[in-house]
Amino acid sequence: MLLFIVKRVTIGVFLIFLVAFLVFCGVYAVGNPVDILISPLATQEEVQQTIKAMGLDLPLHRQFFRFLGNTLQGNLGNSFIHSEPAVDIILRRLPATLEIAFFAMLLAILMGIPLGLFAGLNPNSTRSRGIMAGSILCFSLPNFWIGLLVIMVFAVNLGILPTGGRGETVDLFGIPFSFLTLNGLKHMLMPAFTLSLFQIALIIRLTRSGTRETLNMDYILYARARGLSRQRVVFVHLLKNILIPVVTVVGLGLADLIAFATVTEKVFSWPGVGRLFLDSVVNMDRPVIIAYVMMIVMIFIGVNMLVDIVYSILDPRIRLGGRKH
Amino acid sequence: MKNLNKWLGLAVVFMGFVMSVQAKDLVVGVTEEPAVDPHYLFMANNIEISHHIFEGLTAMDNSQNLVPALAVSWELVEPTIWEFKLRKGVRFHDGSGFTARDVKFSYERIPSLKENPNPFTPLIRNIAEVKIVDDYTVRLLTKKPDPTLPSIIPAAFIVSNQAAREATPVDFKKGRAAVGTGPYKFSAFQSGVKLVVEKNPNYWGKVEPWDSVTFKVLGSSAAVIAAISAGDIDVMGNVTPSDVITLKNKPDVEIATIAGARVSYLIMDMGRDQSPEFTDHSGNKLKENPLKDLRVRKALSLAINRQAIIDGLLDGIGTVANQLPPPAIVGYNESISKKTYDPEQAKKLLAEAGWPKGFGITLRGPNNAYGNGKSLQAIAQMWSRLGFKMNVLTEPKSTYFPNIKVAAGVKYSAMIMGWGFSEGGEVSPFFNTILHSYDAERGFGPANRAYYNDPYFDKKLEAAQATMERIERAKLLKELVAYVTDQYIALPLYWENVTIAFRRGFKAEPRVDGAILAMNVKATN
Repeated sequence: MLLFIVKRVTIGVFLIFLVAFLVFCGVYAVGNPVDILISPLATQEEVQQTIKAMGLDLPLHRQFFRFLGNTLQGNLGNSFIHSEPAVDIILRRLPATLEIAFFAMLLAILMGIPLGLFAGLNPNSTRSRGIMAGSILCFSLPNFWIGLLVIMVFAVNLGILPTGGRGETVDLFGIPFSFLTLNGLKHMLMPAFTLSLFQIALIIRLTRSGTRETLNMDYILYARARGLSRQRVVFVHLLKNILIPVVTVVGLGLADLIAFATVTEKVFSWPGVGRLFLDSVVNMDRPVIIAYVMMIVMIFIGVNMLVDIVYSILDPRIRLGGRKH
Repeated sequence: MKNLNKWLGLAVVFMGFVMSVQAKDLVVGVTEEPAVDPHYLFMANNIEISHHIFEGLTAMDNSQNLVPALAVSWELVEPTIWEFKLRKGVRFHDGSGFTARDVKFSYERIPSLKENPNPFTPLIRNIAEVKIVDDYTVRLLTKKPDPTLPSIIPAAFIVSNQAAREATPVDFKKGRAAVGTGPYKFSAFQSGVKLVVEKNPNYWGKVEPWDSVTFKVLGSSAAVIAAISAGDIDVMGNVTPSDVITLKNKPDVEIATIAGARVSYLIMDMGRDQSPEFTDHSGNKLKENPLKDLRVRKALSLAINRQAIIDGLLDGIGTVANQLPPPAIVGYNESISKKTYDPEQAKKLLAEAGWPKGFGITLRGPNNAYGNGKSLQAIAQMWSRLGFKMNVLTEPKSTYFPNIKVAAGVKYSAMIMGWGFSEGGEVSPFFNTILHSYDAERGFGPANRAYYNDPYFDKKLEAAQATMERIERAKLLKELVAYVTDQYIALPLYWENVTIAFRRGFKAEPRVDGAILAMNVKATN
C-alpha cells in the first residue's frame, strides 16, 4: 500500500510539472498579456516599460526557469488582474467550487442510484422507460443551456430562486460555506442541480446495467433460493456488487465537477475557481491559468488514488501495489 | 376615543420603527471584478468604481464638462505650469485632512506601482513634477505645454498619503489602504462576489441618499440581464443593443440611452507596399497595395450603409458617424457632409482606380469586443456587392491584440476597432495614437495600424496640440478632422450609445463616458 502511494505521488509530481510546462508554452505562444491588458492610450515606450517591469521581455526558456525556480519555493507568481499570489486566490475560491461539486455529487448519488436500481429491477415498466429516456436527455443537453433555462423559469418567471451568486455564507473552521443558511442553500440549488444532471444520468445507466447483469448471477439466485428477503438480496448482495463501477464514476465525476464546473459557474456567477479560470483565460492572466491547471492535475491524481483505495475496501480481491501471489 | 388614541400612538411608533429600520441600499450589477486600488489596472470598469471612494483634482460631469472636485480652481501660470487651488476642509474617510502632500504622493504612486500590467501612467505622462506651494496649492510642471491637462486627470485619483503609504493593491482590497475622500467609504470586498461601499456622512459635497451600495460581480452580461430581470440587482450599465430587445419586454425594467463618446471604426493598411491580407480573386497575395489609392479607400467607405448596420444589428441604438469624433468631442466638425452612403459613386471610383471588380479582403475583429464582429459580416456583404471577394475572421481579444501590434508588424490588413474619447475630451489623443506616423521614441502612433505616414498631418497635429488658446486650438483640430475624413484612413462606422437599465422604483442617469455611478441613481418612490 505504502509503495503504491509513493509511486503514485512520484508520477503525480512529474505529471504536474510536465503539464505546467506544456501550459506555460501554450500560454506563451498565444501572446503577451500586456498587449491585451494595457490601455490603448499607452505609447510604445510605456508598453515596453511595462513589459520589462513584469519580466515578460525575457525569452521563453528564461521565463520558464524563473517560473520553475519560484514554483519550487512555493511561489506561482502574482495574478496580473488580482495582484495577489495566484495560489492564494485559487485557495480562496476553491471552497465555493468544492461545496457546489460535493452538493451536486450528493444529489447525483441520491437520485441516480435509486432510479437506476428501480429501472434495473423493473426493466419493462413504463416508468423505467421514462427514467431511461430522461437520462438520455440529461446526457445530451448542454449544461449551460439547462442553466439558462432553469434561471429563466425559477428566477426570472417564477421568482422563487435567485439568479446567481453565492448568497449568505457561514464560516466553519474559518472557511465560508453556503449550505448552512437557507439563503445559501437557495443559491446553491440551481447550479448544483444543473451540474448534477450529467452525473445523475451516468449513475442511472451504470446502476441499471449493473443490476440487470448481476440479477442473473448464481449468487443472487442462490441467495434467493436460501429464502432471503427481497430487500436483503437487493440491498446487500446486489447493491454491494454493483457499487464498484459506480464508485469509479463518482470519483472521477467528482474530479470532473471540480475541474469543469467552469461553464456552470459562469452562468450562475458562482464565485468558484472555474469562473476564475475562464476570466483568467480571457484576460491572459498567466499565473492563475498555470496554477489552476496544476491544481486540477493534482486533484485528478489524488482522486484516482482514493478510488483505488476504496476499490480495495469494497472488493477484497483487488490488492494494491501489485503484490504477486 | 381612548382606544383610538392608543392605536394611533402605536401606529405612529410602528411607522417610525419601519422607517428607521428600512436602510436604503442600492445593488449595481457589474461583470468585471473591481481592482479597488484606484492606481491598479487602467480600465473603465475600475475607474467607474473608484469614483465612489476616491476623487481626482478635477472631474467630468454627466455630459463630459470639466468641473471642480478636490481642486476648486486652476490656472495656467506659464505654458508648462498649471496651478491648482485645493479644496479646504476636505477629510479622508479616516478623518485625516486632505492637503497638497496627498496629491504629490498619489501622482508619484501611479508609476511606482510594481507589476501593474496596465498602469495609469498615460494620464500623467506629461507631468514632470508635482510641486507643493503650500498646503492648499499645488503646481503641476509639464514636459510640454498642455492646455488639456485638467481634463485628462479626473481619473488620476487621490489616495491618502498615510493610509496608502507603501500599500499594495491587496491592502486596498482588504480595506486598510482604501481611504479616499469620495461620497462613499469602503466597507467590504469579496473576490468574485461583491464590493460594498457605505455612505460617507462627512462628505464635503452633498451627502448621498444611499446607506450602502453593493457592486455585485456577476459572471457574464447574460447573468447581469437575468439578475436585473429577476430583481436581484437594481441598476446595470453597458446594456448592449441585443440585450435592449430582451429588456424592453420586462415591465419592471426601464432603459435610458444617450449618445456616448465612443466610435466604432475600420482601419485598413494603406501604407505598406504589400499588405498581408489583400489578395486577388483567386486568393493570391497582391503585389501592390490598392489602398494607397485614395479613390479605392473612398469607394470602400461609400459602399458601407451605416444606417442599415445600426437598424439591423444595433436595434437602432447608435448614430451614423460621418467623421471620427462624436459631436460632444472637441474637434467634431459640423461642416462635414452627412452623406456617407453612395454605392453608385463607389462603383465609379473603383472603375476609375482600375479595380472594377474589386479584390480580396479579409476583415478581422475580436469576437468578444467591439460588437463581437457582427458589423464585419454586414460590411463584407456590402463590399462583395461591388465585386470584392470577402472573408471575415474573428477571434478572442486575447489573440486579436497580439496579432495587430504595430511594434511587431500588424499581421492583418483590415480591422475593426473602437475608441472612447473620455480622456481629455478632444480628438488629439486618438490622432496621436492611431493616425500620427509611428515614432516609438516620441511616443507617437503606437497603434497606427493603417501605416499612415503623412508629414503634413503630423505637423498640423503637433501644431494644434501646442496651441494653448482654446478657440484657436479647437479650430485647428476641426480642420484636421476635415482633412483626415477626406483622406479615408480610418473609416468611421457609428457612434455608440451609452445604455443603462434600472428597476422600477429607481431612476438612473447615463453618463457620456459610459460609467454607471450610484451618485446618478435616485429612488422614485
